[in-house]
Amino acid sequence: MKHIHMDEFAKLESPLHAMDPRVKVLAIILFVFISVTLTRPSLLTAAIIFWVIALLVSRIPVGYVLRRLTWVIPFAGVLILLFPFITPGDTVWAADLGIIRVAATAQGIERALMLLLRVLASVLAIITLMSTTRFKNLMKALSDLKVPAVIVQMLEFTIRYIFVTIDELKRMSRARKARGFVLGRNLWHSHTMRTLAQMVGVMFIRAYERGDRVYVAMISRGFTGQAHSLSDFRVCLKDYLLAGFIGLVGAGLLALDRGLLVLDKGGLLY
Amino acid sequence: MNAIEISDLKYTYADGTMALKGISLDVTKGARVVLLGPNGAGKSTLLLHLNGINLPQQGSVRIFGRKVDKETENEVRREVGLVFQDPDDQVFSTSVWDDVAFGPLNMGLSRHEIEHRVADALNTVGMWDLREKAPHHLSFGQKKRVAIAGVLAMDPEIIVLDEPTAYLDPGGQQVLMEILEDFHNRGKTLVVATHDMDMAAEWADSVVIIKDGTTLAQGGTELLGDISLIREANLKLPTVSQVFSHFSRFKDRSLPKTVAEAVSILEEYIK
Repeated sequence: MKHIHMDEFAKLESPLHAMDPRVKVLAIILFVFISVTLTRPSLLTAAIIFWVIALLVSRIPVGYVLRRLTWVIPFAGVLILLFPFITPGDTVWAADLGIIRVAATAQGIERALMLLLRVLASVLAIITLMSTTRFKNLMKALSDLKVPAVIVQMLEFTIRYIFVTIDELKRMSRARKARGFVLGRNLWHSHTMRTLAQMVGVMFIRAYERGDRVYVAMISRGFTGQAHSLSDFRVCLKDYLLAGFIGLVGAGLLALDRGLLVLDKGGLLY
Repeated sequence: MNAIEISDLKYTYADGTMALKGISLDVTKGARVVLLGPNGAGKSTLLLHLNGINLPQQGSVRIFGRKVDKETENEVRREVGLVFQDPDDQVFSTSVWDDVAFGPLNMGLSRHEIEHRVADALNTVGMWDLREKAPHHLSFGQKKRVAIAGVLAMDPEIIVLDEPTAYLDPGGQQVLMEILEDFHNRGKTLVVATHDMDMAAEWADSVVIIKDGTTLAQGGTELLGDISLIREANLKLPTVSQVFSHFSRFKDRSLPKTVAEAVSILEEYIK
Protein backbone atom coordinates (compact mmCIF):
# COMPACT_ATOMS: atom_id res chain seq x y z
CA MET A 1 0.00 0.00 0.00
CA LYS A 2 1.07 3.59 -0.63
CA HIS A 3 2.26 5.68 2.26
CA ILE A 4 3.01 9.33 2.85
CA HIS A 5 6.58 10.42 2.42
CA MET A 6 7.46 12.10 5.66
CA ASP A 7 10.61 13.62 4.23
CA GLU A 8 9.64 14.01 0.62
CA PHE A 9 11.05 17.54 0.32
CA ALA A 10 14.31 16.72 2.09
CA LYS A 11 16.01 16.11 -1.23
CA LEU A 12 15.64 19.69 -2.46
CA GLU A 13 18.59 22.05 -2.46
CA SER A 14 18.87 25.10 -0.26
CA PRO A 15 21.22 26.41 2.44
CA LEU A 16 19.09 24.77 5.15
CA HIS A 17 19.01 21.46 3.27
CA ALA A 18 22.77 21.47 2.92
CA MET A 19 23.33 22.34 6.58
CA ASP A 20 24.94 19.74 8.82
CA PRO A 21 22.01 17.98 10.54
CA ARG A 22 23.60 18.07 13.98
CA VAL A 23 24.26 21.81 13.89
CA LYS A 24 20.82 22.35 12.42
CA VAL A 25 19.13 20.38 15.20
CA LEU A 26 20.97 22.34 17.89
CA ALA A 27 20.32 25.75 16.30
CA ILE A 28 16.63 25.13 15.71
CA ILE A 29 15.97 23.55 19.12
CA LEU A 30 17.69 26.51 20.75
CA PHE A 31 15.47 28.85 18.75
CA VAL A 32 12.35 26.95 19.84
CA PHE A 33 13.36 27.30 23.48
CA ILE A 34 13.86 31.01 22.99
CA SER A 35 10.60 31.55 21.17
CA VAL A 36 8.46 29.90 23.85
CA THR A 37 9.88 32.30 26.42
CA LEU A 38 9.07 35.42 24.40
CA THR A 39 6.34 37.49 26.02
CA ARG A 40 5.45 40.04 23.36
CA PRO A 41 3.09 39.13 20.53
CA SER A 42 4.98 41.35 18.08
CA LEU A 43 8.25 39.51 18.66
CA LEU A 44 6.58 36.12 18.38
CA THR A 45 5.12 37.30 15.09
CA ALA A 46 8.64 38.23 14.03
CA ALA A 47 9.81 34.70 14.88
CA ILE A 48 6.95 33.26 12.84
CA ILE A 49 7.82 35.47 9.89
CA PHE A 50 11.45 34.36 10.21
CA TRP A 51 10.46 30.69 9.83
CA VAL A 52 8.01 31.43 7.04
CA ILE A 53 10.86 33.08 5.15
CA ALA A 54 13.14 30.15 5.98
CA LEU A 55 10.55 27.72 4.60
CA LEU A 56 10.09 29.81 1.46
CA VAL A 57 13.85 30.02 0.91
CA SER A 58 14.05 26.23 1.36
CA ARG A 59 11.33 25.91 -1.30
CA ILE A 60 9.06 23.79 0.87
CA PRO A 61 5.56 23.95 -0.71
CA VAL A 62 3.05 26.06 1.23
CA GLY A 63 0.34 23.39 0.99
CA TYR A 64 2.61 20.87 2.68
CA VAL A 65 3.34 23.24 5.55
CA LEU A 66 -0.37 24.02 6.02
CA ARG A 67 -1.22 20.32 6.05
CA ARG A 68 1.42 19.76 8.71
CA LEU A 69 0.05 22.67 10.75
CA THR A 70 -3.43 21.15 10.85
CA TRP A 71 -1.99 18.37 13.05
CA VAL A 72 -1.57 20.97 15.79
CA ILE A 73 -5.31 21.70 15.97
CA PRO A 74 -6.34 18.71 18.08
CA PHE A 75 -3.64 19.55 20.64
CA ALA A 76 -3.48 23.33 20.92
CA GLY A 77 -6.70 24.24 19.11
CA VAL A 78 -9.01 23.22 21.94
CA LEU A 79 -7.07 25.25 24.49
CA ILE A 80 -6.89 28.25 22.22
CA LEU A 81 -10.69 28.16 21.77
CA LEU A 82 -11.33 27.66 25.49
CA PHE A 83 -8.91 30.21 26.97
CA PRO A 84 -11.01 33.35 26.29
CA PHE A 85 -13.93 31.86 28.21
CA ILE A 86 -12.17 30.27 31.17
CA THR A 87 -9.72 33.02 32.08
CA PRO A 88 -11.04 35.47 34.68
CA GLY A 89 -10.77 39.18 33.80
CA ASP A 90 -12.56 42.04 32.09
CA THR A 91 -15.49 40.85 30.03
CA VAL A 92 -15.44 42.05 26.44
CA TRP A 93 -18.15 39.85 25.01
CA ALA A 94 -20.93 37.81 26.58
CA ALA A 95 -23.88 35.75 25.55
CA ASP A 96 -26.79 34.22 27.44
CA LEU A 97 -27.44 30.63 26.52
CA GLY A 98 -30.49 30.09 28.70
CA ILE A 99 -29.07 28.46 31.81
CA ILE A 100 -25.42 29.33 31.34
CA ARG A 101 -23.74 32.54 30.44
CA VAL A 102 -20.52 32.57 28.48
CA ALA A 103 -18.21 35.51 28.62
CA ALA A 104 -14.94 36.18 26.90
CA THR A 105 -12.36 38.23 28.75
CA ALA A 106 -9.64 40.46 27.39
CA GLN A 107 -7.03 38.58 29.43
CA GLY A 108 -8.35 35.29 28.06
CA ILE A 109 -8.12 36.45 24.48
CA GLU A 110 -4.59 37.65 25.09
CA ARG A 111 -3.62 34.28 26.59
CA ALA A 112 -5.16 32.47 23.65
CA LEU A 113 -3.32 34.72 21.22
CA MET A 114 0.01 34.15 23.00
CA LEU A 115 -0.50 30.40 22.97
CA LEU A 116 -1.40 30.46 19.29
CA LEU A 117 1.68 32.49 18.39
CA ARG A 118 4.00 30.37 20.52
CA VAL A 119 2.66 27.17 19.04
CA LEU A 120 2.99 28.56 15.53
CA ALA A 121 6.54 29.79 16.09
CA SER A 122 7.75 26.47 17.54
CA VAL A 123 5.86 24.19 15.17
CA LEU A 124 7.03 26.14 12.12
CA ALA A 125 10.61 25.84 13.36
CA ILE A 126 10.20 22.07 13.80
CA ILE A 127 8.52 21.75 10.40
CA THR A 128 11.52 23.55 8.90
CA LEU A 129 13.85 21.08 10.61
CA MET A 130 11.84 18.00 9.66
CA SER A 131 11.14 18.98 6.07
CA THR A 132 14.70 19.95 5.19
CA THR A 133 16.35 16.91 6.77
CA ARG A 134 16.14 13.27 5.70
CA PHE A 135 14.60 11.27 8.53
CA LYS A 136 17.56 8.93 8.69
CA ASN A 137 19.98 11.83 8.91
CA LEU A 138 17.89 13.39 11.65
CA MET A 139 18.11 10.16 13.64
CA LYS A 140 21.86 9.92 13.06
CA ALA A 141 22.24 13.53 14.14
CA LEU A 142 20.34 12.79 17.35
CA SER A 143 22.50 9.80 18.14
CA ASP A 144 25.66 11.78 17.31
CA LEU A 145 24.41 14.43 19.71
CA LYS A 146 24.36 11.75 22.43
CA VAL A 147 20.59 11.51 22.67
CA PRO A 148 20.13 8.15 24.47
CA ALA A 149 20.07 5.25 22.00
CA VAL A 150 16.80 3.98 23.47
CA ILE A 151 15.02 7.17 22.48
CA VAL A 152 16.50 7.29 18.98
CA GLN A 153 15.69 3.63 18.39
CA MET A 154 12.16 4.12 19.68
CA LEU A 155 11.64 6.95 17.20
CA GLU A 156 13.08 4.88 14.37
CA PHE A 157 11.00 1.82 15.17
CA THR A 158 7.87 3.91 15.57
CA ILE A 159 8.25 5.41 12.11
CA ARG A 160 9.22 2.09 10.54
CA TYR A 161 6.42 0.05 12.03
CA ILE A 162 3.60 2.59 12.13
CA PHE A 163 3.20 1.96 8.39
CA VAL A 164 3.22 -1.81 8.84
CA THR A 165 0.56 -1.40 11.54
CA ILE A 166 -1.54 0.92 9.39
CA ASP A 167 -1.44 -1.70 6.63
CA GLU A 168 -2.58 -4.36 9.06
CA LEU A 169 -5.41 -2.16 10.31
CA LYS A 170 -6.53 -1.46 6.75
CA ARG A 171 -6.52 -5.15 5.88
CA MET A 172 -8.46 -5.98 9.02
CA SER A 173 -11.08 -3.32 8.36
CA ARG A 174 -11.40 -4.50 4.77
CA ALA A 175 -11.88 -8.07 5.95
CA ARG A 176 -14.52 -6.89 8.43
CA LYS A 177 -16.37 -5.08 5.67
CA ALA A 178 -16.15 -8.15 3.47
CA ARG A 179 -18.05 -10.03 6.14
CA GLY A 180 -20.78 -7.42 6.24
CA PHE A 181 -19.68 -5.31 9.18
CA VAL A 182 -21.10 -1.79 9.23
CA LEU A 183 -20.01 0.83 11.75
CA GLY A 184 -22.75 1.67 14.21
CA ARG A 185 -24.06 5.24 14.26
CA ASN A 186 -23.15 5.98 17.85
CA LEU A 187 -20.89 5.10 20.75
CA TRP A 188 -23.63 3.05 22.43
CA HIS A 189 -23.86 0.54 19.64
CA SER A 190 -22.50 -2.45 21.51
CA HIS A 191 -21.73 -4.69 18.53
CA THR A 192 -19.60 -1.95 16.94
CA MET A 193 -17.84 -1.18 20.18
CA ARG A 194 -17.13 -4.81 20.93
CA THR A 195 -15.76 -5.39 17.44
CA LEU A 196 -13.52 -2.33 17.56
CA ALA A 197 -12.31 -3.21 21.05
CA GLN A 198 -11.37 -6.68 19.87
CA MET A 199 -9.53 -5.17 16.95
CA VAL A 200 -7.51 -2.95 19.28
CA GLY A 201 -6.71 -6.02 21.38
CA VAL A 202 -5.60 -8.00 18.36
CA MET A 203 -3.42 -5.09 17.25
CA PHE A 204 -1.65 -5.09 20.61
CA ILE A 205 -1.03 -8.82 20.45
CA ARG A 206 0.21 -8.64 16.90
CA ALA A 207 2.51 -5.73 17.68
CA TYR A 208 3.88 -7.65 20.64
CA GLU A 209 4.54 -10.74 18.54
CA ARG A 210 6.01 -8.66 15.74
CA GLY A 211 8.35 -7.05 18.27
CA ASP A 212 9.52 -10.51 19.27
CA ARG A 213 10.17 -11.55 15.69
CA VAL A 214 12.00 -8.31 14.87
CA TYR A 215 14.20 -8.83 17.91
CA VAL A 216 14.98 -12.42 16.93
CA ALA A 217 15.86 -11.25 13.41
CA MET A 218 18.16 -8.58 14.89
CA ILE A 219 19.93 -11.07 17.15
CA SER A 220 20.29 -13.33 14.18
CA ARG A 221 22.32 -10.63 12.45
CA GLY A 222 24.68 -10.36 15.38
CA PHE A 223 22.90 -7.69 17.44
CA THR A 224 24.14 -7.79 21.02
CA GLY A 225 22.30 -4.80 22.42
CA GLN A 226 24.71 -2.12 21.29
CA ALA A 227 23.60 0.35 18.67
CA HIS A 228 26.30 1.21 16.17
CA SER A 229 25.90 3.93 13.67
CA LEU A 230 27.91 5.09 10.74
CA SER A 231 27.69 8.76 10.18
CA ASP A 232 29.66 10.79 7.74
CA PHE A 233 28.57 14.26 8.73
CA ARG A 234 31.16 16.98 8.36
CA VAL A 235 30.72 20.40 9.83
CA CYS A 236 32.10 23.27 7.81
CA LEU A 237 32.25 27.02 8.27
CA LYS A 238 28.99 27.54 6.36
CA ASP A 239 27.14 25.43 8.94
CA TYR A 240 28.48 27.51 11.81
CA LEU A 241 27.62 30.73 10.01
CA LEU A 242 24.06 29.62 9.34
CA ALA A 243 23.65 28.33 12.90
CA GLY A 244 25.15 31.56 14.16
CA PHE A 245 22.64 33.53 12.12
CA ILE A 246 19.69 31.51 13.49
CA GLY A 247 21.08 31.86 17.00
CA LEU A 248 21.62 35.59 16.54
CA VAL A 249 18.04 36.16 15.39
CA GLY A 250 16.86 34.18 18.43
CA ALA A 251 19.14 36.09 20.79
CA GLY A 252 18.04 39.39 19.24
CA LEU A 253 14.38 38.56 19.77
CA LEU A 254 15.09 37.56 23.36
CA ALA A 255 17.03 40.77 24.01
CA LEU A 256 14.22 42.90 22.56
CA ASP A 257 11.68 40.98 24.61
CA ARG A 258 13.54 41.54 27.87
CA GLY A 259 14.07 45.20 27.07
CA LEU A 260 17.85 44.84 26.82
CA LEU A 261 17.60 46.13 23.31
CA VAL A 262 15.17 48.82 22.25
CA LEU A 263 14.03 49.22 18.71
CA ASP A 264 13.54 52.89 17.88
CA LYS A 265 12.81 54.77 14.70
CA GLY A 266 16.41 55.88 14.53
CA GLY A 267 17.85 52.41 14.93
CA LEU A 268 18.93 50.21 17.76
CA LEU A 269 19.41 51.65 21.21
CA TYR A 270 21.11 49.79 24.03
CA MET B 1 33.45 -32.08 7.30
CA ASN B 2 29.75 -31.44 6.99
CA ALA B 3 28.43 -27.89 6.99
CA ILE B 4 25.58 -28.81 9.31
CA GLU B 5 25.29 -31.87 11.54
CA ILE B 6 22.26 -32.28 13.71
CA SER B 7 21.82 -35.31 15.90
CA ASP B 8 18.78 -36.28 17.92
CA LEU B 9 17.76 -32.64 18.49
CA LYS B 10 14.87 -32.15 20.89
CA TYR B 11 13.19 -28.91 21.85
CA THR B 12 10.20 -28.17 24.05
CA TYR B 13 8.69 -24.69 24.32
CA ALA B 14 7.95 -23.09 27.67
CA ASP B 15 4.24 -23.87 27.28
CA GLY B 16 5.01 -27.59 27.07
CA THR B 17 4.68 -27.94 23.30
CA MET B 18 7.26 -30.43 22.13
CA ALA B 19 8.26 -28.98 18.78
CA LEU B 20 11.26 -31.18 18.01
CA LYS B 21 11.24 -34.81 19.10
CA GLY B 22 14.56 -35.99 17.75
CA ILE B 23 15.74 -34.47 14.51
CA SER B 24 18.89 -35.78 12.85
CA LEU B 25 20.31 -34.59 9.56
CA ASP B 26 23.55 -33.81 7.77
CA VAL B 27 24.18 -31.15 5.16
CA THR B 28 27.34 -31.25 3.08
CA LYS B 29 29.20 -28.07 2.21
CA GLY B 30 27.91 -26.36 -0.91
CA ALA B 31 24.67 -28.35 -0.96
CA ARG B 32 21.26 -27.01 -1.97
CA VAL B 33 18.91 -28.46 0.61
CA VAL B 34 15.15 -28.14 0.79
CA LEU B 35 13.47 -28.69 4.11
CA LEU B 36 9.93 -29.93 3.62
CA GLY B 37 7.18 -30.63 6.06
CA PRO B 38 3.58 -29.73 6.79
CA ASN B 39 2.67 -26.72 8.95
CA GLY B 40 3.53 -27.40 12.57
CA ALA B 41 6.15 -30.01 11.71
CA GLY B 42 8.79 -27.95 13.51
CA LYS B 43 10.48 -26.33 10.52
CA SER B 44 10.72 -22.83 11.99
CA THR B 45 11.86 -24.15 15.37
CA LEU B 46 14.55 -26.15 13.60
CA LEU B 47 15.73 -23.18 11.55
CA LEU B 48 16.12 -21.09 14.70
CA HIS B 49 18.52 -23.74 15.99
CA LEU B 50 20.82 -23.33 13.02
CA ASN B 51 22.29 -20.04 14.21
CA GLY B 52 21.85 -20.38 17.90
CA ILE B 53 18.67 -18.37 18.42
CA ASN B 54 17.28 -21.54 19.98
CA LEU B 55 19.92 -23.58 21.76
CA PRO B 56 19.56 -27.39 21.85
CA GLN B 57 17.87 -28.70 24.98
CA GLN B 58 18.85 -32.24 24.04
CA GLY B 59 20.98 -33.52 21.20
CA SER B 60 23.39 -31.29 19.33
CA VAL B 61 23.80 -28.95 16.38
CA ARG B 62 27.24 -28.64 14.81
CA ILE B 63 28.19 -26.03 12.24
CA PHE B 64 31.42 -26.97 10.44
CA GLY B 65 32.17 -29.28 13.31
CA ARG B 66 31.68 -26.64 15.99
CA LYS B 67 29.02 -27.32 18.56
CA VAL B 68 26.39 -24.58 18.88
CA ASP B 69 26.04 -23.47 22.50
CA LYS B 70 26.04 -20.34 24.64
CA GLU B 71 29.78 -19.81 24.05
CA THR B 72 29.77 -20.18 20.29
CA GLU B 73 26.40 -18.62 19.42
CA ASN B 74 27.84 -15.26 18.38
CA GLU B 75 30.42 -16.83 16.07
CA VAL B 76 27.85 -19.20 14.64
CA ARG B 77 25.66 -16.24 13.68
CA ARG B 78 28.44 -15.06 11.36
CA GLU B 79 28.64 -18.45 9.73
CA VAL B 80 24.90 -18.99 9.34
CA GLY B 81 22.68 -16.26 7.91
CA LEU B 82 18.94 -16.55 8.46
CA VAL B 83 16.45 -14.93 6.06
CA PHE B 84 13.06 -14.75 7.73
CA GLN B 85 9.74 -15.29 6.02
CA ASP B 86 8.29 -11.81 6.56
CA PRO B 87 10.80 -9.16 5.44
CA ASP B 88 9.00 -6.62 7.63
CA ASP B 89 10.34 -8.56 10.61
CA GLN B 90 13.88 -8.32 9.35
CA VAL B 91 14.22 -5.03 7.52
CA PHE B 92 13.81 -2.51 10.31
CA SER B 93 16.17 0.39 9.55
CA THR B 94 15.29 3.81 8.18
CA SER B 95 16.91 3.19 4.82
CA VAL B 96 17.83 0.22 2.65
CA TRP B 97 21.54 0.97 2.89
CA ASP B 98 21.48 1.21 6.67
CA ASP B 99 19.61 -2.03 6.96
CA VAL B 100 22.11 -3.96 4.90
CA ALA B 101 24.92 -2.35 6.93
CA PHE B 102 23.36 -3.52 10.22
CA GLY B 103 24.95 -6.98 10.24
CA PRO B 104 28.44 -5.84 9.17
CA LEU B 105 28.29 -3.05 11.79
CA ASN B 106 27.51 -5.60 14.47
CA MET B 107 30.52 -7.59 13.28
CA GLY B 108 32.68 -4.57 14.00
CA LEU B 109 34.10 -4.29 10.50
CA SER B 110 35.90 -1.22 9.24
CA ARG B 111 33.95 1.48 7.49
CA HIS B 112 35.65 0.75 4.20
CA GLU B 113 34.86 -2.96 4.43
CA ILE B 114 31.24 -2.25 5.38
CA GLU B 115 30.73 0.05 2.40
CA HIS B 116 32.27 -2.53 0.12
CA ARG B 117 30.10 -5.37 1.43
CA VAL B 118 26.88 -3.36 1.37
CA ALA B 119 27.50 -2.30 -2.22
CA ASP B 120 28.29 -5.87 -3.23
CA ALA B 121 25.23 -7.31 -1.49
CA LEU B 122 22.87 -4.66 -2.89
CA ASN B 123 24.22 -5.16 -6.39
CA THR B 124 23.82 -8.93 -6.09
CA VAL B 125 20.10 -8.60 -5.33
CA GLY B 126 19.64 -5.69 -7.76
CA MET B 127 18.68 -3.10 -5.13
CA TRP B 128 21.65 -0.72 -5.32
CA ASP B 129 19.64 1.98 -7.08
CA LEU B 130 17.08 2.00 -4.26
CA ARG B 131 19.65 2.14 -1.45
CA GLU B 132 18.41 5.48 -0.10
CA LYS B 133 14.74 4.43 0.03
CA ALA B 134 12.86 3.92 3.26
CA PRO B 135 11.72 0.27 3.59
CA HIS B 136 8.03 1.18 3.90
CA HIS B 137 8.10 2.57 0.38
CA LEU B 138 9.28 -0.73 -1.11
CA SER B 139 7.18 -3.53 -2.53
CA PHE B 140 7.08 -6.91 -0.79
CA GLY B 141 9.49 -8.44 -3.31
CA GLN B 142 11.91 -5.54 -2.93
CA LYS B 143 11.83 -5.82 0.86
CA LYS B 144 12.54 -9.51 0.53
CA ARG B 145 15.58 -8.78 -1.58
CA VAL B 146 16.80 -6.24 0.99
CA ALA B 147 16.39 -8.87 3.70
CA ILE B 148 18.51 -11.28 1.66
CA ALA B 149 21.14 -8.60 1.02
CA GLY B 150 21.28 -7.88 4.76
CA VAL B 151 22.25 -11.47 5.38
CA LEU B 152 24.57 -11.71 2.38
CA ALA B 153 26.53 -8.64 3.56
CA MET B 154 27.64 -10.65 6.60
CA ASP B 155 29.19 -13.13 4.15
CA PRO B 156 27.97 -16.27 5.91
CA GLU B 157 29.04 -19.71 4.68
CA ILE B 158 25.55 -21.09 5.16
CA ILE B 159 22.39 -19.22 4.17
CA VAL B 160 19.05 -20.41 5.50
CA LEU B 161 15.83 -19.09 3.99
CA ASP B 162 12.36 -19.61 5.47
CA GLU B 163 9.71 -19.79 2.75
CA PRO B 164 11.58 -17.50 0.36
CA THR B 165 9.03 -17.79 -2.46
CA ALA B 166 5.95 -17.20 -0.31
CA TYR B 167 3.81 -14.24 -1.50
CA LEU B 168 6.22 -13.48 -4.35
CA ASP B 169 4.81 -12.99 -7.85
CA PRO B 170 6.23 -15.20 -10.62
CA GLY B 171 8.70 -12.51 -11.66
CA GLY B 172 9.85 -12.10 -8.07
CA GLN B 173 10.24 -15.87 -7.71
CA GLN B 174 12.36 -15.95 -10.84
CA VAL B 175 14.63 -13.20 -9.48
CA LEU B 176 14.89 -15.09 -6.20
CA MET B 177 15.91 -18.29 -7.96
CA GLU B 178 18.63 -16.40 -9.81
CA ILE B 179 19.90 -14.98 -6.53
CA LEU B 180 20.00 -18.48 -5.02
CA GLU B 181 21.84 -19.75 -8.10
CA ASP B 182 24.38 -16.98 -7.64
CA PHE B 183 24.90 -17.97 -3.98
CA HIS B 184 25.36 -21.58 -5.02
CA ASN B 185 27.99 -20.59 -7.57
CA ARG B 186 29.85 -18.76 -4.82
CA GLY B 187 30.07 -22.04 -2.93
CA LYS B 188 27.56 -21.18 -0.20
CA THR B 189 25.60 -23.92 1.50
CA LEU B 190 21.88 -23.22 1.12
CA VAL B 191 18.99 -24.49 3.21
CA VAL B 192 15.50 -23.53 2.11
CA ALA B 193 12.33 -24.34 4.04
CA THR B 194 9.42 -24.36 1.61
CA HIS B 195 6.03 -25.74 0.66
CA ASP B 196 6.74 -25.21 -3.00
CA MET B 197 7.25 -28.76 -4.29
CA ASP B 198 7.98 -27.62 -7.83
CA MET B 199 10.70 -25.29 -6.66
CA ALA B 200 12.11 -28.10 -4.51
CA ALA B 201 12.16 -30.46 -7.51
CA GLU B 202 13.77 -27.96 -9.88
CA TRP B 203 16.31 -26.47 -7.54
CA ALA B 204 17.42 -28.78 -4.76
CA ASP B 205 20.06 -31.47 -4.80
CA SER B 206 19.22 -32.74 -1.35
CA VAL B 207 15.89 -33.17 0.44
CA VAL B 208 14.99 -33.35 4.13
CA ILE B 209 11.42 -34.17 5.07
CA ILE B 210 10.29 -33.66 8.64
CA LYS B 211 6.99 -34.40 10.32
CA ASP B 212 5.82 -34.07 13.92
CA GLY B 213 9.26 -32.98 15.05
CA THR B 214 11.17 -35.93 13.65
CA THR B 215 13.14 -36.54 10.47
CA LEU B 216 10.95 -38.63 8.17
CA ALA B 217 13.46 -38.96 5.36
CA GLN B 218 16.68 -37.48 4.05
CA GLY B 219 18.12 -38.07 0.60
CA GLY B 220 18.26 -36.88 -2.99
CA THR B 221 15.41 -35.40 -5.01
CA GLU B 222 14.14 -38.90 -5.83
CA LEU B 223 12.32 -38.64 -2.49
CA LEU B 224 10.01 -36.04 -4.04
CA GLY B 225 8.67 -38.65 -6.48
CA ASP B 226 8.11 -41.29 -3.79
CA ILE B 227 4.32 -41.43 -3.58
CA SER B 228 3.99 -43.28 -0.28
CA LEU B 229 6.56 -41.08 1.47
CA ILE B 230 4.99 -37.89 0.17
CA ARG B 231 1.57 -39.06 1.28
CA GLU B 232 2.86 -39.96 4.72
CA ALA B 233 4.40 -36.52 5.07
CA ASN B 234 1.11 -34.76 4.14
CA LEU B 235 2.82 -33.17 1.16
CA LYS B 236 1.99 -33.43 -2.50
CA LEU B 237 3.94 -34.54 -5.54
CA PRO B 238 5.58 -31.96 -7.79
CA THR B 239 3.21 -31.05 -10.66
CA VAL B 240 5.23 -33.02 -13.21
CA SER B 241 5.19 -36.15 -11.02
CA GLN B 242 1.44 -35.79 -10.51
CA VAL B 243 0.91 -36.04 -14.26
CA PHE B 244 3.10 -39.15 -14.61
CA SER B 245 1.60 -40.83 -11.54
CA HIS B 246 -1.56 -41.40 -13.60
CA PHE B 247 0.24 -43.73 -16.02
CA SER B 248 0.48 -47.37 -14.97
CA ARG B 249 3.88 -47.90 -16.56
CA PHE B 250 5.39 -45.53 -13.97
CA LYS B 251 3.84 -47.47 -11.07
CA ASP B 252 7.02 -49.26 -10.14
CA ARG B 253 9.67 -46.77 -11.09
CA SER B 254 10.63 -43.42 -9.76
CA LEU B 255 8.45 -40.64 -11.16
CA PRO B 256 10.04 -37.80 -13.12
CA LYS B 257 9.96 -34.59 -11.08
CA THR B 258 11.27 -31.78 -13.24
CA VAL B 259 10.19 -30.35 -16.55
CA ALA B 260 13.52 -31.43 -18.09
CA GLU B 261 13.09 -35.04 -16.93
CA ALA B 262 9.54 -35.11 -18.28
CA VAL B 263 10.64 -33.72 -21.62
CA SER B 264 13.38 -36.31 -22.08
CA ILE B 265 10.98 -39.15 -21.23
CA LEU B 266 8.32 -37.82 -23.58
CA GLU B 267 10.86 -37.44 -26.37
CA GLU B 268 11.61 -41.16 -26.09
CA TYR B 269 7.96 -42.02 -26.65
CA ILE B 270 7.31 -39.53 -29.41
CA LYS B 271 10.23 -40.84 -31.51
